[in-house]
Amino acid sequence: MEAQRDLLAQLKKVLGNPTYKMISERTGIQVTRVFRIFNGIEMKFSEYLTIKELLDSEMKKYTNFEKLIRDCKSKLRVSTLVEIEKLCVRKLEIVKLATEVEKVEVA
Amino acid sequence: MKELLMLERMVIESIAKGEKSLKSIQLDTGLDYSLVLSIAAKLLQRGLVDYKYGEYSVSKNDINWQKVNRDDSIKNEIKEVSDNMIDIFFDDRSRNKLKLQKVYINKQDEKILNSLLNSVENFVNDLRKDQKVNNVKVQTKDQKVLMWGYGDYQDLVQNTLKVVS
Repeated sequence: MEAQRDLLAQLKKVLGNPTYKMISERTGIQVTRVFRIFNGIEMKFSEYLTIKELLDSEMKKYTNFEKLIRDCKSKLRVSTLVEIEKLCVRKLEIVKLATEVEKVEVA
Repeated sequence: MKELLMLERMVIESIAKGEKSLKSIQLDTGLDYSLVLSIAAKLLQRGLVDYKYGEYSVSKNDINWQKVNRDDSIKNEIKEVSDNMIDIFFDDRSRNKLKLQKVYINKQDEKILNSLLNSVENFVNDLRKDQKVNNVKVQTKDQKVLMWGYGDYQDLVQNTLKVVS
């Protein structure tokens, strides 16, 4: 159970508090099952592996992205970095609006 | 964020057109009700729309509007539109149009091109006027988004090189 808790905590961190629907779509595990898993029910070994696979693939992207950001910081000029930053902010704003949608729907 | 997202601009356009309730904005924009609610709340917070007796209206606060209508804000909005226009074109070429051409144009032909582009602009403006005069109800979501223009190839390439310090 501890391994399960760690895995889910890591996944939440890496995906930035994903919705149950999002995890379900990415793993193929039913939404209700994802909900139960996140609420403490013990997951099957196959579910653990599926979620671990998702986490690993996300971590890999994240590592590459971190490296890319470091390269950008050292090689691009400030105005270009500001431009990239603005693009990221705009994308995050859309995510924020969508997340607020989830909150509204739950309420 | 000082600038507007395309989503936010769409909701503002809908309100400006006279859609006052969340339900009518939802029908007009085709966005989910909860998303409209979320966007409207954000716009209200930023002082770009007002809310009174269950109805939304566009704020008349010029200072708030100046912030979102600055050149760099508009530039980022247009970038969002063009990015998405390119994406949807490659997703479905039968429903969307996109042309990109490179050609040498002499001064004489440039005048002709400008005149043709003016005609396009006049055509679009006339469509808008006609719809207003004839009271044609058009839903915001059903509009086409058009974009045109040109630039010197050399300038475009030089602009990409601005990433180098």
